[in-house]
Amino acid sequence: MALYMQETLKVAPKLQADYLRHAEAEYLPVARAAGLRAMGFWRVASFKGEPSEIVALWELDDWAAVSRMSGGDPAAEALRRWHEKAGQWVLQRDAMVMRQRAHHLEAADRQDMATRFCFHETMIIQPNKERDYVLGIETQLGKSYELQGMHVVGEFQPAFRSGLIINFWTVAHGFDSIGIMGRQEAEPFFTGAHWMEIALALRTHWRSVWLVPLPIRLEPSRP
Amino acid sequence: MSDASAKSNMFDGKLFFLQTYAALPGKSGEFRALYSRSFAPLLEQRGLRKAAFWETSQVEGPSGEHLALWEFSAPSEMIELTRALDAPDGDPKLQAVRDDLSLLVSRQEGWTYLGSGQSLGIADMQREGITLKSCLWEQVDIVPNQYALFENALRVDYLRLIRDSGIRLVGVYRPQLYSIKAAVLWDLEDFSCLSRLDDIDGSAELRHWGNIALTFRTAVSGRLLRRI
Repeated sequence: MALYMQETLKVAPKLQADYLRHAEAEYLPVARAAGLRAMGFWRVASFKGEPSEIVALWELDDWAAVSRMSGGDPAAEALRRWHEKAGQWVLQRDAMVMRQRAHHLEAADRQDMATRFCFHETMIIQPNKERDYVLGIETQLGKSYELQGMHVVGEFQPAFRSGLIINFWTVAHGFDSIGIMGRQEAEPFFTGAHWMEIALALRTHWRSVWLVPLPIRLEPSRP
Repeated sequence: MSDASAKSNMFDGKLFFLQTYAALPGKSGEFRALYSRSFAPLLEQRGLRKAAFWETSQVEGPSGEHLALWEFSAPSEMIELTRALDAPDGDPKLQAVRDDLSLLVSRQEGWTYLGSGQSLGIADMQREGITLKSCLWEQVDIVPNQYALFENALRVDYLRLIRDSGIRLVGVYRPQLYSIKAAVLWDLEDFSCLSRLDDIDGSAELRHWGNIALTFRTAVSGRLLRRI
């Protein structure tokens, strides 16, 4: 079963361009060698959250990849050296292993995820209701938002932290899509207001931010 | 009801001291060297026995975080240690190294943990071949004072789900004088044995365990640890 890692980095906006240059040249190659596949790098938009926060999403094959990364092989050591070096830009780093719960997704759904503006939610779920919440998103809110150009590309459940689901939604029109949230006109499918009533039984509160894709080439350039 | 839950005090006789440090960005190497070379030997001179010194894995938890777990024999040892560290006329050598370490970290905490009767001491671990090389350390928010029932449920219901997986329960601990927190330490053959969690993921048995556990705990958060 594939695993995912959400990495959150605190990098002062003035240092972000320099960090990204070095990350593209040094971090991505050692991460790839260690078994991590980058799915996107974003920065939290300034109007709702901390723009010093960078969110990166990675995919790993399985727990054996986690084991290799935690061992003493050269790729794992190179990754450790990078994180130590990155201290010149990164004030704080946190990582979280997660499982994808949105099983209805096709690979194509998230093909261009890295270049898209994303809506990111950290949902605090009622005890043991994680799967019910995911089902609710898939069958209800997700359908409604799709009609408005918002597509769920990830509903991630942390492997070692209870009561959390992390949602990634891509939006069609970048900054202009921000207006989707909170608009007043009725929606043609289940309404956001209707979902809010259902969701009360499944989650308590949440943190949501908008993510702006960062200029970093995730795949190696071809000769 | 098992012996553990029948005891009025299940946390006698297994005493641990956990230190958590968050090294400043780029200072992990320097911190580890100073801790291992200078601070740890001074604790050993005071009779503490090191169970493990870990760093948090690159995939789970904050970067630069280090945990050290020490076993000691009697509350008097911890009183002597805190006097040495904190009293104005304490141990100047120990205090000097502690102060040097403080310049390399953004956060440091020490907690005295009381291990349950069934928790393993260092000698037990050695006898059972437990190396603590790869570990999962879970911090649990517990329903007040439900330690015995929580541990019983863990041992009876959860261990059955992960039998023969290479995931072994080392101990269940509570912080001294704190009624709503607990910690659980698991030894992992290596991190790949966590694939057992994928095998049971979504199963009725795991959901059942989740419902049982709700009676005793409200939240859990884990760290993957790699022994240095």
